[in-house]
Amino acid sequence: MKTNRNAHTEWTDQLSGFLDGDLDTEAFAAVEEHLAGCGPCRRVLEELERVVSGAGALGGLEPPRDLWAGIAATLRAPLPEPETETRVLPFPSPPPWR
Amino acid sequence: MPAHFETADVKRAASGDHAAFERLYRDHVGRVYALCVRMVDEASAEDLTQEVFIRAWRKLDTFKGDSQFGTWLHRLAVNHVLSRRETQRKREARHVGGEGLLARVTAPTRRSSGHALDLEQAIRRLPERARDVFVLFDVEGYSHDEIAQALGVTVGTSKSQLHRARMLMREHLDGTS
Repeated sequence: MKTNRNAHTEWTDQLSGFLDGDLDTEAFAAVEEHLAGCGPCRRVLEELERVVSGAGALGGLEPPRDLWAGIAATLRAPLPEPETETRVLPFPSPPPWR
Repeated sequence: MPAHFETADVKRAASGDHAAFERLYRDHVGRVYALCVRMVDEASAEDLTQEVFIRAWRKLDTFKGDSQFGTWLHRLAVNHVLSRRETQRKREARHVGGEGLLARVTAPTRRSSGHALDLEQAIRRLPERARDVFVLFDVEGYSHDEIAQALGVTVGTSKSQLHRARMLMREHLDGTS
């Protein structure tokens, strides 16, 4: 069910902060009071909670192939030569024969 | 792997032991690859994952053990992904129409199922900045301060992008149910 954006945006915009404990006491209480009497906003909150809990439960993903062989080959290879930099020579010393 | 074994493997790897580093790779590749898939795409995730481990190998001597190895590796992965994407963006700006990291792939992830698959697909549909914040905050557990620093945005922007992302995720998931 889609909520009426204009009627509820003022409240739904605060729901992430509400979920994350990121509102000050006064704002938290105001949202809480609104939620008690507003089904559509409660529904949005429940859906956001599902998104947040689902995201937190996402685990790792195994790559479709083993990548170690490619990594190991690079580790065994000599390090590339560092890019040549323009050397700034010190002020020339007098020739040694002087 | 128990923490003390991992610490020992990090030390061995830092002194050049490939077998120890392979064990570290096996323990952490799933999380690094997932981060790359979610923040970029499947097409680029394998290359990025390999690059992250190669960089980690070369930087092992800078790991001081102040945090868990996994935390250090993960931060390195986030920084590498963001840096590569920035490089790619500049390259593509010079070659309009080129394909690369920013070319999004919409093929479903074969290794997820059910609600997790819906979530993975919904993450891919998020705009880039909202996706970055959502993945780093809601999936990976970074704080807004850390995200703001990594992305070069304000904490307020991080919070507003997170809310935007969650609302979009909710809409995407609503459309799939």
